[in-house]
Amino acid sequence: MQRFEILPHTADVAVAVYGESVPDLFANAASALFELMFEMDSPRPGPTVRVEATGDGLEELLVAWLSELLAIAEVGGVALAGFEVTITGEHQAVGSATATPVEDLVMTGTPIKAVTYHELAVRQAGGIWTATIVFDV
Amino acid sequence: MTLVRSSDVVWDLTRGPGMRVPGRVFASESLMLKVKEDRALQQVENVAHLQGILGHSMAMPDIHWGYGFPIGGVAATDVASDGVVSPGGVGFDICCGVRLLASGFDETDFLARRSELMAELDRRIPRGLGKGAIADAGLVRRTLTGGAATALEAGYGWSSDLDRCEERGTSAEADARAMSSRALERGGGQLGSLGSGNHFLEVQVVDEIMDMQAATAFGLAPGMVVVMIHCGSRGLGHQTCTDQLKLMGSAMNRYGIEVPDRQLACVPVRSPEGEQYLAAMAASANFAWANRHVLAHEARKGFAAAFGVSVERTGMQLVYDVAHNLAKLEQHEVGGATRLLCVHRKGATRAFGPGHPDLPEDLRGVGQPVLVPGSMGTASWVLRGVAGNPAFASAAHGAGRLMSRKQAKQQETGRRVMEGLESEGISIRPGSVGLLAEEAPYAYKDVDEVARVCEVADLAARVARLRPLGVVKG
Repeated sequence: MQRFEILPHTADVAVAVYGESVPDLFANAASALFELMFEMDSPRPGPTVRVEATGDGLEELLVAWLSELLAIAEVGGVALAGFEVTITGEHQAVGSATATPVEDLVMTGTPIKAVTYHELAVRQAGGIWTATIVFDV
Repeated sequence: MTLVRSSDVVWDLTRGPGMRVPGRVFASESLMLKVKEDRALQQVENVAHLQGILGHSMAMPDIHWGYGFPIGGVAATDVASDGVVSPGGVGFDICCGVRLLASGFDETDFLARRSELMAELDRRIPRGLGKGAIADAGLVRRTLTGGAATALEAGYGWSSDLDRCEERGTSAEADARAMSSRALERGGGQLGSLGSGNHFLEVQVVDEIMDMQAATAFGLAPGMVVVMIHCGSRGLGHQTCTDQLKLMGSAMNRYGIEVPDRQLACVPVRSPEGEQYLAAMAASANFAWANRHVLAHEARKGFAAAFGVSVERTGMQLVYDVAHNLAKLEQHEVGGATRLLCVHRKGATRAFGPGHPDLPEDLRGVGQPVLVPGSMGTASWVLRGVAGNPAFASAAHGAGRLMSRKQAKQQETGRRVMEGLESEGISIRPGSVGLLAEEAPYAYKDVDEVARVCEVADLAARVARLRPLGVVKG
């Protein structure tokens, strides 16, 4: 199954992300966030970071999760990969990822500044979870 | 939603369900053709739903599809009538803006020292991801309340810089306690850095002057080399907007406010959450003004080193510094009465006309400088504020994007874009060669047309056209 695809947007970057479950969807959205910026095919295994986010409902939780990853990455000067995610109810996401220094990676897209709520949607159809997300670049 | 052409450069959106006011877009026919292709007009309509909005939900000639507000969006809400403030009307890059420096050099001087100067700027101007910053991280917290004045006290820049900066580079409304520790953490290593995307430091030459009196007052002369800097509040501002949007989403329900796009989350200006947002926004703005102040002084040092003169002998006085992502409490006349409004400018520049008391005394006769950058290969413009501006004293902030990043990358490689610009005599020092294609000149609208429409629509008048010579790209 395709994990994500880029959708049209004039100034920013919009994506549709797919997953077989909500944790899978969150992991794939996290992968999309970093794969839009870096070549992440074979990141050097690095230290593991723990990530926790809270939000009211799946959509807000997804924004909180991705925003937290973005902040951790910026402060640490790293890109993240290998996401493991657990979702509790629709209000808490706890996960882990491996960190690679950005100096060791090739940039493939303009750095993402933030995760927006514009046209944000999380839905399930035919057993597949889909999220549409617009990133501010 | 029906779009009606009201004049050569004014298009009105009739009121649809939920819209409190009509929409209004300032654009020529050629600019409007592209606007109709994406969802920017839908965003103008969405903004018209905001509680307390007055007049029109407006958009400047460089309008394009953004998130929440369109880029180029202007909305003024009436503070006394429970008018709202929306972080989506400011954006993540709080107080992103443009700073223009004059110089004592001309194009011949530049050409004689081109490689030395571009090497100095390339080496001195931090940009891109994780590439450091000029100022010490310890200064960041103090800039939140002190703004550019704090950077001045720390030894960066000249005291005359503050005279030519919007709000003198310091908002008194700032409260650092409204910021999260995460925001401070993100901004910690970023004071004096460009960032990435469409941010840049550009060496330009004054190519054409339309209004000599205003140009002289601004400190510009024909053939003068100038430096334009475009950047904002970096991760500190991005995190502040993220934090405040989350808080506002839940607070909005308590005030019974509904919006058609969650990114437009808002609360009354006069509410605890509204005041907290404005305090955090102002603190981020102070950081942004300090950031441009520090970068500008580093550019002076680069010129001094390249030309073998002292920093003072570079003649690099500040022409002006304008923000184009802010919500400001301003007095405006509406329906014959003066009212306190919260004016959101999301990718729009404040443009006070002659006589405005907030302008420095030496510019009060001509109006506020309005800085409109183009793209790497095209002109930039200096405009001036005019009397009777129909958009709550606002004008365009740039050329406006024409093409998505994906489309732009499909047209050319970054290397080809760089070679093309170099062949036109424009030196390019990119943060990343590969990413240059996303910011290629063909991805932007015609900035000359944007400036012309600003003038015809009485948003601002053309003063000088600037041509690029060298670009340090974020």
